[in-house]
Amino acid sequence: MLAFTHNWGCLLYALIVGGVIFVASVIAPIAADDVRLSNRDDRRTVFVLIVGFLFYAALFLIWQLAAIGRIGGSR
Amino acid sequence: MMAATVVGTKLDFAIIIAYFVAIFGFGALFARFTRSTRDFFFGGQRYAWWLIAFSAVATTVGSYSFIKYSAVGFQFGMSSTMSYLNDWIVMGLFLLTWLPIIYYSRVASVPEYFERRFDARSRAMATIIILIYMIGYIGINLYTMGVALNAMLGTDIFWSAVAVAVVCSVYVTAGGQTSVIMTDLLQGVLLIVAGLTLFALGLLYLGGFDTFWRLLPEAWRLPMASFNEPHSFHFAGVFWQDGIANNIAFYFMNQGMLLRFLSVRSVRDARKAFLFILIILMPLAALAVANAGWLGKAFVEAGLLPADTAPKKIFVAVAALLCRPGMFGLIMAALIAALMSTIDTLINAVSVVGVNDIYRPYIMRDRSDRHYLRAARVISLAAGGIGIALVPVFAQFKSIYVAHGAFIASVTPPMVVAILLGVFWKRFTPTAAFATLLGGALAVGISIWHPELIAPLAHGVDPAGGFKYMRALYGIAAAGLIGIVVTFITKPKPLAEIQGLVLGTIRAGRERFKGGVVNEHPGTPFVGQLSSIPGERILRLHPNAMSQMNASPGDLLYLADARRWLGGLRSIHATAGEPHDRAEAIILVSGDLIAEGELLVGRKHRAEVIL
Repeated sequence: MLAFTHNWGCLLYALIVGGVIFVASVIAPIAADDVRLSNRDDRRTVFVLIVGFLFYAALFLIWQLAAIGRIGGSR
Repeated sequence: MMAATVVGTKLDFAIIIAYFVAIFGFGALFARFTRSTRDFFFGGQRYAWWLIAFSAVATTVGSYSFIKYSAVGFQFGMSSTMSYLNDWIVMGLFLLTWLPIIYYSRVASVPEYFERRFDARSRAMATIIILIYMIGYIGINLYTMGVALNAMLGTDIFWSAVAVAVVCSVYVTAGGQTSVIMTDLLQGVLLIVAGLTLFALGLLYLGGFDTFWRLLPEAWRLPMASFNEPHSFHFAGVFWQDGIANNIAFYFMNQGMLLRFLSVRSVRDARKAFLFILIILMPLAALAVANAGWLGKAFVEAGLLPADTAPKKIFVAVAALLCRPGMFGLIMAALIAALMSTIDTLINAVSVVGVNDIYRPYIMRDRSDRHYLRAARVISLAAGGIGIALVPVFAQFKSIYVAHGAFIASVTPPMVVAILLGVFWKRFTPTAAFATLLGGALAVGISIWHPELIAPLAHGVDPAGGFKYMRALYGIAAAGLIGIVVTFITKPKPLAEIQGLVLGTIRAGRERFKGGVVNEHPGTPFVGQLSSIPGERILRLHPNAMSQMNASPGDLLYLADARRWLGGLRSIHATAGEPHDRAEAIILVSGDLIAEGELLVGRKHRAEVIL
C-alpha cells in the first residue's frame, strides 16, 4: 500500500493549486471585460476550457483508481 | 563519443535516407508561398487550426524526448507523462489573455512586446536571453540527436548533426514559416504514429494490455510521482518547474511557439488549435514518447530484458526487441522527425528575433521588406551554422552544456514573472520589469551556489539533489517580490501607451487591429466563385452573401480556397468593400490579392468574417 501523499495527495495538490490558477485565469479576463459571455466565440472558448479542465480531472481520477486496483480489478 | 550499440540494418538506413529526401523536397516545395517577411515569419497568417495543432505538437516533442521520457518511464512509471499532461494549468492564461494580446498587437517577437509594454532596455535584455536560449537549444538538440543516432546506427555524432542541420536550414531558408508548418505537420503525424505503433507492438508481444498492466508494479501505474521523493524526480518539483515555469516559458516566451500561433488565420482558430493540442494531441504524444520505458519495465518483470538495463538505453533496447528491419528505421525516422521539427522552428524563430530585434532597429533601418526578407534568410542559414558549431563544443565541454542549463534555469522564472506581471498588472512599471529580469536572474543564480535559500519553499524535498526542480518556485517568488516592490516605488507607463498590451485593454487592441468597430456577431460563411476585377486590395460580394455572413463594408474578411484540406494555403485577409450587383455566386477580388493569396480564378472560395 502506497502512502496517501503518493496516491491522492499529488492529485489533490495538482487540482487545487493548478485549479486556482486555472479558475483565476478564466475569471480575470471576464471581469476585465476582455472576454464577454454574450459573444458566441468567447462563450464557446470558456465552455471548452472548462470541459478541458474537467477532462483532465476525470482522466487523472480514473487513472488513479485503475492504478490502485479500485476499478478494472487488477492489483 | 559514447560506445556504439548498433542495431540498424541497411534497410533501416535506406528508410532514414528516403525520409530525409522526402522532408527536404516537401519543405522546399513551399518556397513560392514566401514573398515577404510576413510570409517568412508568420506564413502570411493564413492557416487553419488543424495544421497548426499537428505541427505545434511536432515542435513540442524534441529529439531527446523519446530517450528522456522512456528513461523516466522505466525508472518511475507512467508518472513520466506528468510533463506533457500538466499544460492545462496555463491554458486559460494563454488562450484568453496572452494569445489575443500578441495577435492583435501585431508584435513579431517577445522582445518587441517588451519594448512596447516597457522600454528599450527590457527589450535588449529579453533579446539576449531569448537568443542564448534558442541558439543553445539548437546546439543541444543537434548534439543529443547525434548521440542517439551514434548509439543506434553507428553514425558519427558530428556528421549526423550536420546532415540534419543542413536539411532544416535549407528548407527553412527557402520557405520560412510555411515550410516549417508543412514539414512539421508530416513529422508530427509520423512521430505520434510511430510511438503508438511501438506501444501496440509491445502489447502484442506481451499478450495484451491486461498482462502489461499486471506486470507493472503499482507505483509504476500511477499518473503522478511521489510527492517529494526521490530528489531526482518528484511531483512537487515537476509541478512547479515544468507545470508552471516551463509551461509559461514554452507558451509565452518561446518565440517558435508564438510564431506558430501567430500563423493561424484568426484568434478563433488559434484557440481551437491550442485546445485540440491540449485535450487530444498532448495525451497521445505523452503515450508515444514514454511507452518504451513502461514496456521496458514490464519486459524486465517478465524476464524478457535484463534488470540492469540502463534507463538511457531502454528506448533502443525495447525498439530493437520489438521491431523488425524496416520498422526500426521508421522508429528512427520518427526520432529524427522529433529533432527536425524542433530545429526548424528554432531556426525560423532566431531569424525573426535577428531581423526584428537586432538587424532592423540597430544595423539597417528603413530598408525595403525585400531587403529584410533576404536578411532573414541569411540569418536562418547562420543559425543552422552556429548550431552545428556548438555540437563539438557541447561534446567536449560538458560544463558548457551544464552552464547553458543553469542559465536557462536562472532566466526562465524572471522572464515568466515579467511577462505575467506585464500582462496582468497595468501598474507594473518599465523599471520594475528590468529589475525583475536582472534581480530575478541574480537571485536564482545565487541559489545555485547557496541552495539553502530554496529550503523554505522546497516542499520537504531532500536538499541532497540541490533543489534543481524547486528552484523554479524560488525564482518565481524572488522575481515576483522584486517586481512588486520596485513597481510601488517607480512610475508606470501611461495607460494610453499600453492599450492592447495588458489585461483590460484587449478589446481596444482588437479594434486597433481591425481599424474599426469589431463585428461581434458574424453569420455563416459564404461559398462562391472567384472572379477578378481591376484595382488594388478590393474584395466585394453580393448583398445576399454579405447578409448571410452578417458582414458590413469595412469588416475584416478571410477568403480561402474551398478545399478544406489545403488548410488555408491559398487564402487572404482583406477588408470587405461595397456589395456588387453581379450574380450572387460571384466573389470579386483584385489581382494583387489573388497573387498574394495564390488564389485560383474560377474556383470555389469560402468567405467568412474574422472581425
